[in-house]
Amino acid sequence: MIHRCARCDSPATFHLTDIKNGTKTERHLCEECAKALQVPQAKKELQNLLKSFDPAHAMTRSRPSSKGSRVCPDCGISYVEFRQNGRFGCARDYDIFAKEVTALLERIHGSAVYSGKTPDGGQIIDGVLVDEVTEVRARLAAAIEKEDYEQAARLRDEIRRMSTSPSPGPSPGTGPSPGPGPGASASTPGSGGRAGGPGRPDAGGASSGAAETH
Amino acid sequence: MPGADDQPSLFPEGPGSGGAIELPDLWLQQSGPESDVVVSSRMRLARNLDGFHFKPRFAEGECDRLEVHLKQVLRDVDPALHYHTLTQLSATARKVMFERHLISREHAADEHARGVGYTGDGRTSIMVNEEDHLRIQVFAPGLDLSSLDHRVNDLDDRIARRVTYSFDPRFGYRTSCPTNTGTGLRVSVMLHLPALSFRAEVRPGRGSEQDIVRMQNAAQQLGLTVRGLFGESSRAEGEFYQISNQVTLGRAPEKTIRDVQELVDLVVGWERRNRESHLNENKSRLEDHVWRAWAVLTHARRMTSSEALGHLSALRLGVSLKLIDTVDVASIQGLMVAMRPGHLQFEAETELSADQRDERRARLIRERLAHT
Repeated sequence: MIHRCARCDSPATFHLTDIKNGTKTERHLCEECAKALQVPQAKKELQNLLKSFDPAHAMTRSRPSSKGSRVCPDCGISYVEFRQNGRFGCARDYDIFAKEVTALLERIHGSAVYSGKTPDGGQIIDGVLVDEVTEVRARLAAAIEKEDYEQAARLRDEIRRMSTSPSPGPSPGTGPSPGPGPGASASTPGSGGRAGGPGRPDAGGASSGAAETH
Repeated sequence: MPGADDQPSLFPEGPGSGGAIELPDLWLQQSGPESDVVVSSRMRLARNLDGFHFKPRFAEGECDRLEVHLKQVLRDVDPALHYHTLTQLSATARKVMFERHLISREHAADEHARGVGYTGDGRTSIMVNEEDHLRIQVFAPGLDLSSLDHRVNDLDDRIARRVTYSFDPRFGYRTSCPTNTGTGLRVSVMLHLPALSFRAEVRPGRGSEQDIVRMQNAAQQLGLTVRGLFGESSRAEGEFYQISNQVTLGRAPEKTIRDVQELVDLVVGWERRNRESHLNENKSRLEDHVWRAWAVLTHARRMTSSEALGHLSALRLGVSLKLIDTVDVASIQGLMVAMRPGHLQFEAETELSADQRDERRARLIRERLAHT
């Protein structure tokens, strides 16, 4: 989701989260308004963010806590170790430390909600899987809002074409993987030696959905 | 330029027969859209396989198994790909691959099981077991983001039919580093901005710093970043800069590509206007700058990489402005790669000291420029 500046409606590049008395408030500002409000510049924010990845910094700053001592059952990494190295140990860490990871991703990217393709040929917009027509309709609405009527006319025609032509059905990549996954065949490295690999991400409670999409 | 045909089996010092590499074509020697200002464009996708740890937490033998598995996957995806397990290559061979952008500096230096697959034209490479299990990258000379978008996604989709990527609808593609989570997409465009930089010398106070800061501010507004020639933490040598995206989550890839394109178009316009205004206001000074570079490049007997890059940058500007026609942009770009340490050692078929490299570099440049 692209946030607009709370003061002037320009695209926001500063994303601030305040937590007071347990209540979280978010503010989104453009650079000019952030300057006007004397918000620390992004460079400094980035430096702080990088600092938080610095092992020396993390060693001196981290306090033993329940958060820090939690360990991923698949790869054995703790949240403190992740923060020290700045690298996850396995995909499941995203679920095990979901709350902290979500906050971190919001700080890095200004959002923790995915938009883009799926491995099986689908499209996700703001975390929601959409079909093709819905996606083009969203683009049409955006074009109208921007008063880009040329683009809007093109998209309208595209929707008409989609509506009149028979549904194309799943794209070539939509079906289940024809190739064996690493654990499915004797000729692949995961088989027989799976003890070395992490458990399936869907084995845990906070499933990633990765297995479902394939 | 050494190529797969004329030098099929070098690196006798490499362990076993795997020490030889087949060098792809040097695509930078071809010209592309907007090549007066834009050197090259690159897109890469970071991908990991479901069911395997990330690199920092590989179990014993897992890294090797994954490398063997992915090597087979890549062969199935495109039987024409060249593939090398990097532990079987000499340090020089790995350096050459780094200098051709086929692998990253870290990938060249690492010690664990890892590999690279690449096409004969050198425009596509896939790193195996770099920071992520797969780093799929495509290149083009000049500015050509739409074709790169098509190529990288086509390859990604073909791989996705043979493996199960680690993906979920909430965070997208899960990567080892949270800065790549989401699309895993990095779009980079390398620009040559001598006029924006040169302004500092002729107009103190209205110099490059101000222009570069303007560019960086514009980049920041769009969630993009400006870096030096060799990526992260490198400085802008020879007035070459890279513009790339930072945000990979919460923004659709199409938007990211559009943002990079818009900023690059803007910067290309600034650079061209500055070049024109230099030409109108300081023609003799500019000509002097370019021809002095030519004189040094065609006569010097020793030259460091850094000095050569500075002169080649001046020459590139001169060619673009038609102040000099003794060489073309593509040849200059070829030289910029061929003069680097790994390539000089590749050609010499032996390790070279810094002194020896400086001599060989000067000779290579003299010979190449004499024959253009």
